[in-house]
Amino acid sequence: MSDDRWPAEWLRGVLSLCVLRIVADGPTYGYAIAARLAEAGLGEVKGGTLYPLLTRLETEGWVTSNWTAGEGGPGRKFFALTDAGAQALLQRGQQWHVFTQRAAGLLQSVPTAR
Amino acid sequence: MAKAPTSVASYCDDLLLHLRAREVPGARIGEVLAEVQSHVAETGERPDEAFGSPRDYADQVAAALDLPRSGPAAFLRRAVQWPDLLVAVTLGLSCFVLADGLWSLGAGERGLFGLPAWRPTVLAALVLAAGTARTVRAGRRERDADAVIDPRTGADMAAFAGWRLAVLVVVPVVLLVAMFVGGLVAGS
Repeated sequence: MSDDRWPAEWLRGVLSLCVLRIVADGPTYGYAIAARLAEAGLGEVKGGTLYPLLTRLETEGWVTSNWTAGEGGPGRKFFALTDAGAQALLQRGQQWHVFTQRAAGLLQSVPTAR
Repeated sequence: MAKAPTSVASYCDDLLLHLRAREVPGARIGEVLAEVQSHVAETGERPDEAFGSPRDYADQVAAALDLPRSGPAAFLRRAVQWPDLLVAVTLGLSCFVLADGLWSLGAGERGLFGLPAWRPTVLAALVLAAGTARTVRAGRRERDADAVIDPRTGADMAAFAGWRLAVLVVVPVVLLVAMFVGGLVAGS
């Protein structure tokens, strides 16, 4: 799907889980996370949404961050998953799976518009 | 490289003010500013494209930190303390008395309330010096307590640049000298 414009409230619900999943693949930084989200077909997530979300994840103790110097650039902030984050990802991931299955079950048959 | 480095700098200046007004801790402000700089350098976006207006983004950051939302009025009530206000008014008054005294000295007239011009002038200069010293000391203390630290370099991101201090000192001094010269011209 090329036009990845999902309703904002859907994204709000699942974005932290998706970001957690991306960070689970290894330490990564903001721009790369946004690129992964777009690649996965979840649409363009702006910095203004992404960094406060990462701050929340850090406050929860699910990710840690540290800065690395960039070559002549302003550096990158790398985020890494903690054990608590891995646990949360596992739990919430399973929950989300059940949740979407149930929603899909309900939405399976949609009466045709009259 | 960001498209317009100056606009990144001015965006960060605005953002810093709005974050301060929401009482975000200095270390966190440093993180947020560094994130903005790093992100726009990577994407080539304008900061307001990627993060929205400084005001809105500051709101989002404060919300992510679970800081209570407060308007500028509440911030002023907390930030402005009576002693500071009193010092500010005293400084303003002594500036006026000093300017008036210098003019009178230049013109060879008597000063305020018919006193010899040098008396209110010296008094005002002393008060001004004491008040300035107090303000500078207070400013130093606060900056140390909650500085906006760049997480990458440990540098103070809101350092009081030398040229700013020069402007703050030079402009009043020039104006006061101008009062004296004005008095000389008027008196001759």
